[in-house]
Amino acid sequence: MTDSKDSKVSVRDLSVFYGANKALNKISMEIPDKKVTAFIGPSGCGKSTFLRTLNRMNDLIGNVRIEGEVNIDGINIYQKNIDVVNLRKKVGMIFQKSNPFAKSIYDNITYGPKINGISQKRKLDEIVETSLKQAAIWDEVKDRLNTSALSLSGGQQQRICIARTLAVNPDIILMDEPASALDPISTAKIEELIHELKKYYTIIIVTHNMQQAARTSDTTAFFYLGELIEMDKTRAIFTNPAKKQTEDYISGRFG
Amino acid sequence: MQSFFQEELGKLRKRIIKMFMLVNMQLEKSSQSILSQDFEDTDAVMQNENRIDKLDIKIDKLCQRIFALAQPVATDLRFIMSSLRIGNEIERIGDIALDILARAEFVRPYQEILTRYRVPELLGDVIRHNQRALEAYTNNNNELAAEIVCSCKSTAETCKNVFNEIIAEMAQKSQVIVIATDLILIVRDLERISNHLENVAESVVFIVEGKRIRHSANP
Repeated sequence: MTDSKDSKVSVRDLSVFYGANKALNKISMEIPDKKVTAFIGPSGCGKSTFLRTLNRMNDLIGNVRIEGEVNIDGINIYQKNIDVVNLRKKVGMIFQKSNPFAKSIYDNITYGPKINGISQKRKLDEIVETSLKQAAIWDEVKDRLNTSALSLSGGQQQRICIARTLAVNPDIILMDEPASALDPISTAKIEELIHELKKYYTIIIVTHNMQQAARTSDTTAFFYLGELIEMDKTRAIFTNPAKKQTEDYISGRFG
Repeated sequence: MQSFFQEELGKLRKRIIKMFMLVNMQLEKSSQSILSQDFEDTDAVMQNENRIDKLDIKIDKLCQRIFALAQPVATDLRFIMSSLRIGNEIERIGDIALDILARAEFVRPYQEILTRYRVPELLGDVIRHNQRALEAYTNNNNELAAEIVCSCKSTAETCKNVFNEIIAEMAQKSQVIVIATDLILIVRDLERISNHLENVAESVVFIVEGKRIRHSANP
């Protein structure tokens, strides 16, 4: 559905094995640039495993074997000479449970830029302000940047984590259930933020919440038992899916 | 930061308002086609009809998309349900306006008979009801909508009376049968427009109050 020329990420015949267990079976897909792509499917379908292959987070798990290609901007991230740290800077990740460092809000945001060699205070201040503004939390925290990030509410912490990811200037943001631990108002803020961020970033989100996928994404991919069953524009998936399995899942008949 | 969902609702409201305005033009043109001897605007009417049909499909798709993707609730849900219904009602009014236009040339030479059977008055009434229904929808005005329900019922009642009067004259004068048949069909069309606008007004009440007043004797 997305031409490879318009795509940011191009996956070819990707299989992932945990020991002898095949978690993903020959997945191929094109993920469009500066759009939101949602992965949905029942627990154990492989959607989070697939998400983690996009910035090689699976490397951190022992006994994992990966076949196939993941091309980002035309470069296979599984080829030998890839700098994984740089890759993860380019492909940031937000997790289900917000995980700010036990440091001030300011230090959370400047952590990545400092590691990347930025030390000028004026430059760091600028990054903090821009990142917090982009993460739609600047107005809430601008007067207390030196307080601990852990003193914030869950929804605010999650937006701090998003700001921390933005501070290292990524191209792609992976989100693994970013709002599942949040109340409806905080969830709405995160969803609204996703809608704003897609102007500048390619966003890929895994969610158990189909309504969230429907509300936030442009493209939806449905996974089941390690297979990619269907991928299409979100409006097509939720109004007229091509596959019966997709229809049964999104209408709550199984899963 | 305006939410995407609010933008979609705004788009729906704009499309319904646009459709109302196009239908209003159709009603005015069909009224002119009956009452004015030099009516020559048929092309514009056909273009409007195409635009109304396209809008009808767009509104349908937009509502389907909002239902599927945004899971609306409460006032938003009532607004979308009702807008879909209102879109259907006014699209039908556009079609009926074309029916009236198609018959206009047969009744146009008989202005005296048209006046006797209150056709100019009825045409004016339905145009006014349509304009007021647009106002009620645009401003979420349930009180105005309740008034429109009564006015439309009254117009429909007048249409029924006129219908019976024409039948009575036909029974007595066989020479009026040809013009009277066209007249009956036009009056019946005006009655149907009133019924559709009554439904529109009832839907506006539903949006604002969440109360279903259709099929009830007293709104």
